[in-house]
Amino acid sequence: MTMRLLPAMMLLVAALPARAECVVLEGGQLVLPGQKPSAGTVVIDGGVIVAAGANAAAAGPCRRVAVRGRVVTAGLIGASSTLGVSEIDLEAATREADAGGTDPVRAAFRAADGYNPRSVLIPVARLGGVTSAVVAPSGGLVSGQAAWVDLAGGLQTSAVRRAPVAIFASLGEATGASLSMLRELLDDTRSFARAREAWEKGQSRDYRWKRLDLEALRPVVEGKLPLVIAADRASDIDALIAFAAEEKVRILIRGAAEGHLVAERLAQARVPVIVDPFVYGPGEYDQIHGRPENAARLHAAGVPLVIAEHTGHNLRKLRQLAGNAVRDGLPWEAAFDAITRAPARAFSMVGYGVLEKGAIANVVVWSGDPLEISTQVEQVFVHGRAIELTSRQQELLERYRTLPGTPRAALPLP
Amino acid sequence: MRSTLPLLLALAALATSQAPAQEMVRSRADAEERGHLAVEALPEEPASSFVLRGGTVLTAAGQRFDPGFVVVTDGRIALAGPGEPPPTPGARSIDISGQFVTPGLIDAHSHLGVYPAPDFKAHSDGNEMTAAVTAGVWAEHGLWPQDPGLELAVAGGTTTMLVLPGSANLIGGRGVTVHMVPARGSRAMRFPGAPDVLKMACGENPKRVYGEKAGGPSTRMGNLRGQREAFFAAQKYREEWQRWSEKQERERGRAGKPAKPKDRPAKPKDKEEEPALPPARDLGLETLAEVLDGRVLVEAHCYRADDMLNLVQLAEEVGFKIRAFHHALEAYKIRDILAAKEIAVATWADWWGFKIEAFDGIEQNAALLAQAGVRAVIKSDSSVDIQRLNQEAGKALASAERAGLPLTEDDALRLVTANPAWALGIDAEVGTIESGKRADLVVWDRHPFSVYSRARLVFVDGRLRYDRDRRGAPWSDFMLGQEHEP
Repeated sequence: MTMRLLPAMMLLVAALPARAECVVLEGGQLVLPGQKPSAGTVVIDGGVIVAAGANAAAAGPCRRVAVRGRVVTAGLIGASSTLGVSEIDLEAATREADAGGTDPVRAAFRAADGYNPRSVLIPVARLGGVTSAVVAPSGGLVSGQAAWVDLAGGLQTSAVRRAPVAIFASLGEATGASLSMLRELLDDTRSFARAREAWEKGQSRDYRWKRLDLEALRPVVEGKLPLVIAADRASDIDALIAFAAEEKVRILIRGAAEGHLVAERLAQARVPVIVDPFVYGPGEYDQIHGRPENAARLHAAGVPLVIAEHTGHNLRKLRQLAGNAVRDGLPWEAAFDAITRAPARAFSMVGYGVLEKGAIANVVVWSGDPLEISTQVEQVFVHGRAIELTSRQQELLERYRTLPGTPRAALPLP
Repeated sequence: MRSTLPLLLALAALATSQAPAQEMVRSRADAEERGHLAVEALPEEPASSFVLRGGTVLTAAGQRFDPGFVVVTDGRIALAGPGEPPPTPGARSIDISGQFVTPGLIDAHSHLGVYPAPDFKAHSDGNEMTAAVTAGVWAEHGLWPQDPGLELAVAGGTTTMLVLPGSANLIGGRGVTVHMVPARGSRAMRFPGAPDVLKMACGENPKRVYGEKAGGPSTRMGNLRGQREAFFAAQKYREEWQRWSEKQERERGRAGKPAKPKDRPAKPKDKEEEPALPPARDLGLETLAEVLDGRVLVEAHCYRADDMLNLVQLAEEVGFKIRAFHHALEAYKIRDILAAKEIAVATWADWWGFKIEAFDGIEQNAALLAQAGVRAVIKSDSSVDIQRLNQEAGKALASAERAGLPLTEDDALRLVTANPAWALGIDAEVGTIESGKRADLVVWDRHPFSVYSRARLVFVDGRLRYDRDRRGAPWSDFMLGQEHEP
């Protein structure tokens, strides 16, 4: 066993890339934070952006890449994804997103534990310009802990950049029942934190929840970790804003199809929303007031706006989602922000989602407007390393460019 | 167009005749067509004449007029061409300078109406999951014309869609092609003259739904057995009706002949000479018999290449043609065979991976198929994507360009217009901007493949059904009174 493992482990070590090279992207149109594209240069070195802007220049010898006529941006961020934790949704053996069972509270469940950095979905997402993702657990009332991953590296230790970045929860269909359970849970979390020593000695009251769940929720009640709660209906969002104020916890609303109806309230409470601009119209009862202008109205009211695609397979649609929000009235800069800087801010990931000095060098070079359908991804850098733009899908395409594809000719005799 | 005219006239005649329900059916086809009579059809609204001028005309028929014009009279395209239109007295002139006009988009795979919005359990009418073979059910009987999704789809430029039963069953029942118009009943939405289709399903879904139930199927083997047995039964049923029809013919022929001169004493009438009753109708077998007749088109949900090949084999064994494979994420692997057998493929631009039979989906599926001569179609199968089929076609084009595959702008537009029209058997009537076709047209505020493009005007049969700048009360009764602002 040891003998067989050894060569594989050595290979892994050998495959770890050397120090990221120094690269200068010259002559492109840069999307600087919160702005429309403008001419400039980006210098990447040691995995970070060392300069970005009209007057940026490399200090030492660097590989120079001409990107004239191209658009250079920060890599996109999938703010609520099942990437790496659900390879094939209908095959249980490939799913790691849901703790399962009947317990509604799974706060101790960590998406990072099941994250597979070798998922074949990851290269597909990168081909859509996505370089980071929040890997979110699902199921139950409190689903568990989300992880921030970068879309590179074959090991969890290199791919998972921070975990947890949030606790994910879902109101489900019974708002009142869910909120009363959450109130009790958070109250018990506080009580448990105070009574921890007594509890160890068997001198405290009993708790309905598991120890690890109560411990996992402690940073939430301390205001250090946000609770991301799925809700679409305006009245549910209203109730959640009140709940967050009452419990003194930080929340993000995921879904928020009817968010535009309570946009002022959300803005006042500074509650960020994670919306999918394709969700409008009454697909579900809780989305009856969904409108194409939802994202635009939320932004106009001053609500921190994040745009997300909730699967892993379709992360490459992120830019199409943002493009549709622009079609329906959202300013382009706000839409691009909503898939880069805004999710980084919402999850407190400093240095992500921006093309500026000191930021992490997750950078994408596009053939044109990143939100436009006809635009192609031309280069992707993750932590300053150029990523080979291929995927299993690309390999299938190449295999079947000429038929018959699979049945290959017999091998020549040895 | 001429080829479908007799059928259209026949249906129009059927629609207006007040045939007594008890009258004896003359043939199986006759019996079947009575089920389509519309009790809810309203008298047709008058169609006004108009000219779209000054914009770019994308015909989906190999031509691009930039600028160009489209003349519409009596609900049909009278003329389309480059430059300025000829004088058209009495026609309103609509200036669409800087904008684009395309044929109305056609969604070859939708469940609007049978899985309407909101997704109420009580409105889930798309899968008759009581048996694996339910050829006798019709989507038009489950289609709720008040689905708010219809108006959203029109706002996205979709003018025609095929509403299919779901894919739980090996043979799910009949689908119905409808025009996107507000109506009180589904028959009033039926696309005039469109053939019915049969929904079949391969692979995982029937296995998953029936695997634990008595009778199965629980394997792909069981899938094929179920489908073969159903069609063998249909062959027998069809023969019974044929024999009965032939006998009717013979007897009518005999009755028409003059009496024979020899005057033998008349025998007492025996049973044989009483008018024979037709065979008992079996709605499921009737549908499958119509498939064998070629009157009902087969639309088969399959993902894997080998699943499709199994069904092609079955179709050849039994004797019917498959009109189109749907989803068909591995169709690119067998595109030579599909091209040779003239089977269309209705797929997505980029959905993949949600189940193992969808794991080999690639973005160039449609482009590779088109290159091989297959009629490739981009469809939605979604109440969301049906609102932006233009973008989905645009994605197929962009993927083709990335891979260096030769898909043109016109080819890409055909993915959501002319090709689905063929897959639905209505290509003589819609799908391109050509003289004589129904005036199903969309005016876009910019190139329809742009993510920023929005439909401005949507015409169905030359009647304006959507105007972005003049929104009235919602089509759906359900949405009335829901529109409160904060």
